[in-house]
Amino acid sequence: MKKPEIFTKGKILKDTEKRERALWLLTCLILVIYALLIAVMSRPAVWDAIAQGVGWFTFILLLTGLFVLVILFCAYLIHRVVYRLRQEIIEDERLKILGQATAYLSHEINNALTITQGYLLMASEMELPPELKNDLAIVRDKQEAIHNLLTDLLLYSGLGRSPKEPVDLRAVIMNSLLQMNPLFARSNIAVQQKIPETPLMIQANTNQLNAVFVNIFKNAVEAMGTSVKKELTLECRPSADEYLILIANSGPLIPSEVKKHLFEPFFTTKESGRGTGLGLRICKNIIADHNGQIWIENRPNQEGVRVVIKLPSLKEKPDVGTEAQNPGH
Amino acid sequence: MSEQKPKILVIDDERLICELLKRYLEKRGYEVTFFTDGREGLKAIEKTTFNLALIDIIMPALSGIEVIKQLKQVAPGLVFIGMSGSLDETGIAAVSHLGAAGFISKPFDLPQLAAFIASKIRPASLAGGPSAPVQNVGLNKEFIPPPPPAP
Repeated sequence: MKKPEIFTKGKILKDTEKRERALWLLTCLILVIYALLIAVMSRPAVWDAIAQGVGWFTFILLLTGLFVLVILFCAYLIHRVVYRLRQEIIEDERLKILGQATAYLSHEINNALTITQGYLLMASEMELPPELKNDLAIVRDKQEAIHNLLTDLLLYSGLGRSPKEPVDLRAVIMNSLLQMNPLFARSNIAVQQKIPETPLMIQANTNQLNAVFVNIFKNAVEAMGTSVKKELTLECRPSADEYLILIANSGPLIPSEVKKHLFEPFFTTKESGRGTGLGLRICKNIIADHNGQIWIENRPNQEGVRVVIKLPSLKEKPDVGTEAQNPGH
Repeated sequence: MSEQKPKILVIDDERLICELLKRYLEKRGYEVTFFTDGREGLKAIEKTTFNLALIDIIMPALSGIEVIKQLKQVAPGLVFIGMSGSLDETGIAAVSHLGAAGFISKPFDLPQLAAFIASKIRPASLAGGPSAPVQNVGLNKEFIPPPPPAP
């Protein structure tokens, strides 16, 4: 899957990587030379010569070599740290620019979509030939794809993020399930849930977590599209410090080649125009933003895939009825 | 004697959205007046009593937030709904704090919007009947419920 050009490495990054490789090769070369020198020095005759004060020049050369090696190794380590830091800054700036551009574009495009979608709806309410109705449905479908892409880009760039507050994880899950119930029903999917009766308090942004669950549910529905057995099970396992949310579906297993790319931006196995390839990446970003983890595994000994989300529990109970807690960062 | 239709004010800098809302809502028993400039909309509020206002948040001349602030002074009891094509949650929160009955993000689903309006005010065609429930359908996935009443 070819990624958009904006997400490939720029000239500065490429040059930095070249310099880093050169530095690493130089360090290795000096290491080899030094090893050879050690090998020569380790011969008893050489030590005898040093002891007799004959080979001081060689000894000093050796020490200098060691010193240069240590300096080069330190430079490499510092360079590595700075390089990583710079990469993070570049990534952050890139996402910010993407977010700002998308925010501007989304306002304009969403206005245009409101108009086209609205007139489309009014047109579809009229008496039209079935062929034309079908064509209008395709237009509407593609409009939805544009809107979804914009929403995904905004979420991916982090611009859709907002403050967190104490929420009951069960309520978020139930709301997401409620939102997805019509799709589950249409797709003949049996949903089983095992959610504790006690509140599962977390510090979270409800809208973002809802986006995560809806995304996972939609992926599950699509994964089970051609399966004979269509089952989705949702389980919450609370422990002292964290909650495990397991969402399993009876769809086909994910090949290991696909699995390792699942969370990469713009990676999708869906046909062109059906998926943005950002969904799981957004899920990962949102969960990471909630100090949690998300991973996907093939269920052992049985057909199906399981998404596991780990979220830290809220240590202190929120003060009900008092002023709202400050949003976390 | 014909029953008076509930009056809806639409303020959006995009004329086609205003015209769309007018056409759609008038078919459903409302009387719709629209303005593409918030200042003109405020003047209209001073002269006419509206039952509900639909206000776009991002507008070039006078922002929706400013319009709402001034509107609350002119017509404190007017029910209003914020609209925006941007998913900026700060804007949504600001509208919510100003006492909006709701917020709807563009592209919105017209039947959903009409159902929400019907739950707030009664169109002439539905007067006497039960009001339609608010449903989250269509493209719009977000609907911010009205904020809790101020203490």
